[in-house]
Amino acid sequence: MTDEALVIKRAQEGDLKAFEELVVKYKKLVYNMCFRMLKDRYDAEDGTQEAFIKIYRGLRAYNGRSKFSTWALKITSNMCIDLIRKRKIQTVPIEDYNIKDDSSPEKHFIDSETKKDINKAVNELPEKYRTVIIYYHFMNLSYAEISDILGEPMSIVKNRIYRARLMLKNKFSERKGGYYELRGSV
Amino acid sequence: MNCEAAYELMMKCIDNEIDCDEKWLLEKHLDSCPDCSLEFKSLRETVKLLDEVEMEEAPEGIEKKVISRIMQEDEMKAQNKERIMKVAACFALILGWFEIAYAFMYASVLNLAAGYFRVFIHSTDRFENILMEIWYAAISLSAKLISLGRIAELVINDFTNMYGTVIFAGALLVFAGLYMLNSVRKMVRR
Ligand SMILES: [Zn+2]
Repeated sequence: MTDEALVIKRAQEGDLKAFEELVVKYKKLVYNMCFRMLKDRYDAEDGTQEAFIKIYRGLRAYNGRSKFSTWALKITSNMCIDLIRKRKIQTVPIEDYNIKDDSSPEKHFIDSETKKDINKAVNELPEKYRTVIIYYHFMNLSYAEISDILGEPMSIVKNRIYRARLMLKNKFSERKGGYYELRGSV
Repeated sequence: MNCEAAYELMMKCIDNEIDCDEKWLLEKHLDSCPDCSLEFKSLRETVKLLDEVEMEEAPEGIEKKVISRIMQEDEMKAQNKERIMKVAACFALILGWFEIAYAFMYASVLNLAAGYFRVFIHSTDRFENILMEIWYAAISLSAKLISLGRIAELVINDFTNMYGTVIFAGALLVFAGLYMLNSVRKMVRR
């Protein structure tokens, strides 16, 4: 049994210390999914807590057949969809939607202005394209994982990502001559 | 190779899923097709930009908040359960008492019937006396067995999962057992 399998088993038996380890390990993924889906930091923090409580309550149903992260993200995604439906969480106007600039110096590949533009472009995509781009490129999930979370065949997920990339490419190149000429080779 | 197939390979290349043969095919097409070549360049740039967007850090200490919320919920659930158990135990106690009183009511009717045989014990016929004594013992013993049976039934069927009644009925069972033993001993001594 791997280390993680052991931790999961202990958490399944009600060991909260073990579950805390799992929360620490996956909070970034779960939080980012909530943040992207709910489009608000406070809602995302609340949603993350809610999601982890749901994950804990459903822990016995996890059978190890898929990766724990995939299983947890599936629960998170369903919960976000429910939240959006129930509370009718308003979609924040994209102009007001600013991304925190984490200012660790070595990560400054792209300036915050560009970052904002990328996020804006992604947010302007139709929902189903936006989702897959976020999952694949922002959260670094694999095609298989995304297909598992969304419950769609992998071929559909792949095609959707391909199409979304094309849409973004067109968006970028029509904007003030595009980033490419502006920035040269990234 | 046509542009459509090239497009497929471009995406594969971007995802690092391309093999050597495919890469060679793609390169050959890109060399001969300026449209695709341009398209590939800007696609790659787009994806590069996308991949540079970092995930955000989760809020500080969120794991502690999750754990304390779970503990709070659990505590509340336990409190509710305890409350329900208390009410149930109370109810069971009352019901159990009625059941047992009812059981002993049967017993006393039988005891009365048994006592009827003892009236004749002081007859002159020794054999008849013993016979009456046996009748008395048999009937009063079955009275007690019926009581015990009723109590056991109570414990097993109605309230098995309510520890309050189980203990209560268990205590009564022991009490009834001791009572019976005592009366048997008295009878033997006589
Ligand atoms: Zn071509």
